[in-house]
Amino acid sequence: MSPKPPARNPAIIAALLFCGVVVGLPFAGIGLALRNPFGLIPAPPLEWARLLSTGWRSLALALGVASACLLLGTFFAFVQIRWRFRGSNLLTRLTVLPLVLPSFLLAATLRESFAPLGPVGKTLGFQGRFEGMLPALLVLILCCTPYVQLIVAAALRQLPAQSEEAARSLGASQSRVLLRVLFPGLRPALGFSALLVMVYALADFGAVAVLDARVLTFELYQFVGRGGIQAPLMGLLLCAFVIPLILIGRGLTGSGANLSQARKRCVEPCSPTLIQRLTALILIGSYLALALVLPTAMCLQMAFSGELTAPILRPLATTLMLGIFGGLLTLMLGGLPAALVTASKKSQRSWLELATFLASGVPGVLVAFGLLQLMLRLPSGNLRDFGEGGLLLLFGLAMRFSSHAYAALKPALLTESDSPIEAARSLGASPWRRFWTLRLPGLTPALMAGFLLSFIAIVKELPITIMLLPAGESSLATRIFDAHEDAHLADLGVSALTLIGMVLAAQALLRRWER
Amino acid sequence: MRILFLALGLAASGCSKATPTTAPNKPAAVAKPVLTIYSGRSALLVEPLLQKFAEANGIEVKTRFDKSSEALANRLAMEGVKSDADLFFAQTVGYLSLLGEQGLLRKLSDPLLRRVAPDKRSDKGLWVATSGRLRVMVYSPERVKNLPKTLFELADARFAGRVGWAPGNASFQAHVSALRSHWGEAKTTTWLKAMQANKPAVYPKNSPQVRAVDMGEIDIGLVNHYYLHKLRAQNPGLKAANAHFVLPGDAGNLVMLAGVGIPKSSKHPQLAEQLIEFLLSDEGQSYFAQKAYEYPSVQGVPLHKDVRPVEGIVLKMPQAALTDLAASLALLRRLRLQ
Repeated sequence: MSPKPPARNPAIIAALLFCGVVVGLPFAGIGLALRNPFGLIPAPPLEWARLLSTGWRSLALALGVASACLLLGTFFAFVQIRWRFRGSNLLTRLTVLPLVLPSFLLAATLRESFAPLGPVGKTLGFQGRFEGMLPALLVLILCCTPYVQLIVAAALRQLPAQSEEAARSLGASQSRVLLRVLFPGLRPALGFSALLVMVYALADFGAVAVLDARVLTFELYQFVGRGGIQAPLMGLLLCAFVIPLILIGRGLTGSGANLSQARKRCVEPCSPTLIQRLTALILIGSYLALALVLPTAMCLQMAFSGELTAPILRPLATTLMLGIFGGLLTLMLGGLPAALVTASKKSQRSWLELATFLASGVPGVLVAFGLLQLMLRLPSGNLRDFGEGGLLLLFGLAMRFSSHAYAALKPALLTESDSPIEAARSLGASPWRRFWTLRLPGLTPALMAGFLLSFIAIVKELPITIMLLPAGESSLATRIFDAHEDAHLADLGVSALTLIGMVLAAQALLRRWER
Repeated sequence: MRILFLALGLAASGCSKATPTTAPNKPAAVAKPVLTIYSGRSALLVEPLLQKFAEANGIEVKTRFDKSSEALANRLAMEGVKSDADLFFAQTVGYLSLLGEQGLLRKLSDPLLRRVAPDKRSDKGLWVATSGRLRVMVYSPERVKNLPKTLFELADARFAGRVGWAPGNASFQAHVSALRSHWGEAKTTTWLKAMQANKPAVYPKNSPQVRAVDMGEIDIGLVNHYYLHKLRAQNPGLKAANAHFVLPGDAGNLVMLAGVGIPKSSKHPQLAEQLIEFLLSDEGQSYFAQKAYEYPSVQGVPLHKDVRPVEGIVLKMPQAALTDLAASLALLRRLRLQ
């Protein structure tokens, strides 16, 4: 494989400009909303104390979720990689399945089951309301634990066995090995997963909206239709929390990159003691009961609880359309920096990567708010019609998930071999033929993986879809959210099961293409 | 993969809805006029009626639903002449009044206005009410044996932690406007503060309160009457009931109007008037009464058998009292209820 020639600087500048425009569009909308905070009813004066306390609540929620997920996810990863007992393999595979469920669905089903007369509430004699910060904390922990498990498990697989074996042979205790050998080795993965979970929790809209947890994303959504400068200011505060986390996260992945370089001999799994096994079974069992069994059972029960208020076909078709067209646009938006990264110098790569991850890191509710403000201020005509017709929605979704496509495409583009292409060129094959017959087949798995990852994220997405969906349309995600608000349980159950089925089908395809 | 291409085909066919088709042997189809409606009323309530009108008139109806009437009114006002809205269907007439004050609504024709009594239309002829709803308590007959006799009593400490409300909902906001007019600012503020001190459960809308009573989350909710009937139609075993405040003419027994107005920017004002005519026709009014369990705006249309008449219990007050939303929202925001 010959090294790729570095691209000329104008291409990089153009790419950076492009990324700037992509990120710039929603921020232009936020700027316009700040400049002209229109509202029929004058907005009340800005209360800094309220704004800041909402910000602190968001931060506290994110910190709480990250801490709990680190403990739980790391334990699950440890059970997955280091312990072997009957059923451990299946159980630790099941613990990542809750990734299929969007946070708002988990929140809605748990709220139903924990209500005083709900199945769990009645059994446990629970009298309170399952709403507010603590239930939001629980739901987000259930949603985010699999991310930590996946990242830490990958890091555990790469840890060399020698240092641990040496420490043990020198008589180090289990806890000493854990603190002095394992923990330092896992630190980058732990740090990165904590930041990832914090960004997720800060940006989450669905769970906090269903559970009425007054954090920045939900408050921003509440203020969207009211005019005033509260909503844009909340958006900026949200950015002030999220962007530094992304920057630190990028720094950590750099330092942790050596973990994934070469595969080393790792520690063989061992049989845990009875107490360890019982602890694992109780923790994993409780997690699966709350994050998987209960929500699925509730969805099934609700699906058969009555008649649908409207057929499911239209939201299903809309969701498919969004997933497919949004996925394709995401592939293009994420593919461009991926292609430029492979053709650029190492120093330029980090800037492009950073721009891509920053564009993706902007919380969905903020992207939607900015684009909505921009659209409302467009003059009437074709451009506005396109925006209202779904183009801005697709753009918002592509911007939000471009890092998914980027992450899938970059390794494939970097490892693409130039020799067959050079050979074809010397044999006189046209650029189109070279692309069609040589490059495309090689890139197809990565393209499909990027597309399917984006598809899955898009069909589960809520805030951008709910705020920018064309008039009269609904997707499965928005229908679940609306059905929960309207207490139409059959609609909620059927839409949820359809969405879960769609995501599982896409996951199955993804696994096929990854193989 | 085949699924993917099937989906793509489906998507492509869905995208071409606005484009007239031109097959070689067929004359080009004429695109249907599109009537755009901004609706603060839910899709489940009004969409069947709107679709019926669309089919009968060979037009397409495109409806932007939003649970926040304020967001829709703000959007319409912000869009101004650029707006593509042909009709604003408001959950409460307060937002129609606000738009009227801004000079954003056109005057409706006299025959339309004459379909309803003067207290169900704007003085300036800018909007007309399509139906009414009674504010009631939805409660659990098992858990609540002594209901409050008045709305003010609902804020009593014995109901602490047992009550739900939806202060972000347009119906509640209109109710606060009525309270300010009936009780005055001081008493309304006292009541709101007393309610707040009881830590009520906050819901985004009315229907989740009915569900919350059924699931035991709360014992009493402050809602519009028809949500219970709607949810009971889906779930006959619902463990909840409606009750009005027993004191005749109590501030809690308020009828609120939903209404429509035509924005000045409307590109199809004639069609929009036809739609209003349909909504006020016997068919439209019977739909509101029989399918939506509401009180018709036009006299003489029978009520649903499960809906009790409001005569003798309702608080009599001019609808204009419900339209002073700006001060009500300011009060709610000052009390951090918004």
